[in-house]
Amino acid sequence: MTHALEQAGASGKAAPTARRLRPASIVAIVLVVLLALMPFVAEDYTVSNYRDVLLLALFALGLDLFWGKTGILSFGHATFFGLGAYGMAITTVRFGIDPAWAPLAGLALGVVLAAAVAFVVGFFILYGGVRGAYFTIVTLALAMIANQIAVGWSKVTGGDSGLIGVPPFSVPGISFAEPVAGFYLALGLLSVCLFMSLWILNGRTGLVLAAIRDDEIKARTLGYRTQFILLATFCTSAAMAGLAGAIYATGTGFVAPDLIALLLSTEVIVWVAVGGSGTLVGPVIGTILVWQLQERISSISYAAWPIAIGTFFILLVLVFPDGIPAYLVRLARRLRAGKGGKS
Amino acid sequence: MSTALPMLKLSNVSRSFGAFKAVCDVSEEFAPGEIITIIGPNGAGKSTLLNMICGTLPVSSGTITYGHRRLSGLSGDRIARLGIARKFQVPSVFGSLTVLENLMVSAVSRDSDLIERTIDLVDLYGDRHVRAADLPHGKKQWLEIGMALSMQPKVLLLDEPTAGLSVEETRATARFLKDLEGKVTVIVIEHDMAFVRDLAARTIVLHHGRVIASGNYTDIEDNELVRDVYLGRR
Repeated sequence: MTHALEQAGASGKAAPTARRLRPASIVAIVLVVLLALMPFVAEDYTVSNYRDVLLLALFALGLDLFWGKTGILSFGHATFFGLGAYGMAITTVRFGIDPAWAPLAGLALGVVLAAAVAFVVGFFILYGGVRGAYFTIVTLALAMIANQIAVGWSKVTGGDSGLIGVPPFSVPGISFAEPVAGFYLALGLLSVCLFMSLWILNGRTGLVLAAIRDDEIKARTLGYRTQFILLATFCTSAAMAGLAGAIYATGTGFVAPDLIALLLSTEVIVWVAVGGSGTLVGPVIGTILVWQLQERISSISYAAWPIAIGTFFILLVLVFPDGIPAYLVRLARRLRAGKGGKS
Repeated sequence: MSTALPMLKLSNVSRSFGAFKAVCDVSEEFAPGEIITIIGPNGAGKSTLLNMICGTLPVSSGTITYGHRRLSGLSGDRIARLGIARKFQVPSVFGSLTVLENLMVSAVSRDSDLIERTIDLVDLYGDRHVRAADLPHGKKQWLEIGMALSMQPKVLLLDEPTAGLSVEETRATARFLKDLEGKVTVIVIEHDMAFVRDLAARTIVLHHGRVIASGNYTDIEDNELVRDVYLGRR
């Protein structure tokens, strides 16, 4: 400590870490490049499927932005995905807007609706000091309420049958109806959101969120408006889910209460957990991995999937708490260390 | 009592938890750049008093004034932005972040010189890339003091800054705080009487939430009541 006193006021040598390309960004670049090549080698059917998977990955990215970075788990994130999808469907099917502009209006409504609901709910629970398991329970209740509204308000939402006839996404002059165009739209949106998130969270914002996750009271005594920061992150996360939901509806052509159901809320948690929460790129990989698994299990028995996802969730918590990619990296390191030891 | 405007003024400040009064009618003034130690037995209300100053706990009655500004009712983050920094009793650092990142988060500006100066000041240059959770207890204490200083505060509240430190580190902490005299108002809660003696600052004694004595440490040591309730008889 004497050294410290002697050094007081002297110019130091420590340089704050600069924003640099981190492993997650490198993995993201490789992943996006590989995905961009897919339409050149895959059939239209596969490309269409992957368009939907990429949108689900965008949804997972949205959840990871909040859960992974703040440590607070939202168990009702399908609400925001569903609001985006229903916003798009209601605008394009019910409002009778000029078809050239309807998808854009639907997109705007879907995203705004998701963010607005997140703002209202988040304001009361985050400023009310609700955290941890209580936050998870409140968001779970939110998903159940939203699902009931989707089923019960049939005049607007179509009830149990949902709404059909959602047109493919288009902007005046450009249509994304073709599978390849839809795929690149999904990949473009995912890439923009992923790289923006990585870039922003690689800097001071990421450090502040990590600080809040570690000790919110301490972060507040440093002058941070923690409730506001958490609320802004929650709204951004919901808007991302809403964006994914709105475009997803234009790909499938219909919306149903399944899009706000508890199963989807659970699935998205599994996608994030499989990829590794807090890594941002991990949930994208996790979504693709789990979707592949779902395809295989559903081809044997459709009813087996909910049981499989539940079992998978338990396995994840017990065996891969940091996600499968992190587990594989650790395993590779251990094997390399073992080899090094032998030689 | 100085006629200059105090940096911090407590007027009849009280805090109750149900029927239990943790702090009762405390009235004190702290001058700019003054160092003050608060001592007293466990449960005397020392930490509660700091919690009320930094806004972690609201006051039940009374007012806390910072310069011309009333702090009562302001949120903890607002009070921190006004220039009141706090070090907690149990070292409170962000465990998943490195030492450098902890200082980057706490620094009042993104000025790298400030972070560099602070990291040297608290002698953690060699540990700058170590995760705060992996630091030994003493270094966590210093990191937290560094985090508070990097906020460039006008008032520094330190709750047992020497807990778990070696004798040499404790002495260095006293010298370090003496260096801040005249620059920052420092309010220190301590149980280590050697440290309090080394600081040779105005000392306030709390017992059952009330101020039972206030003055320089020599007078406090000779105070019969303080010896009865806290220091003990030689």
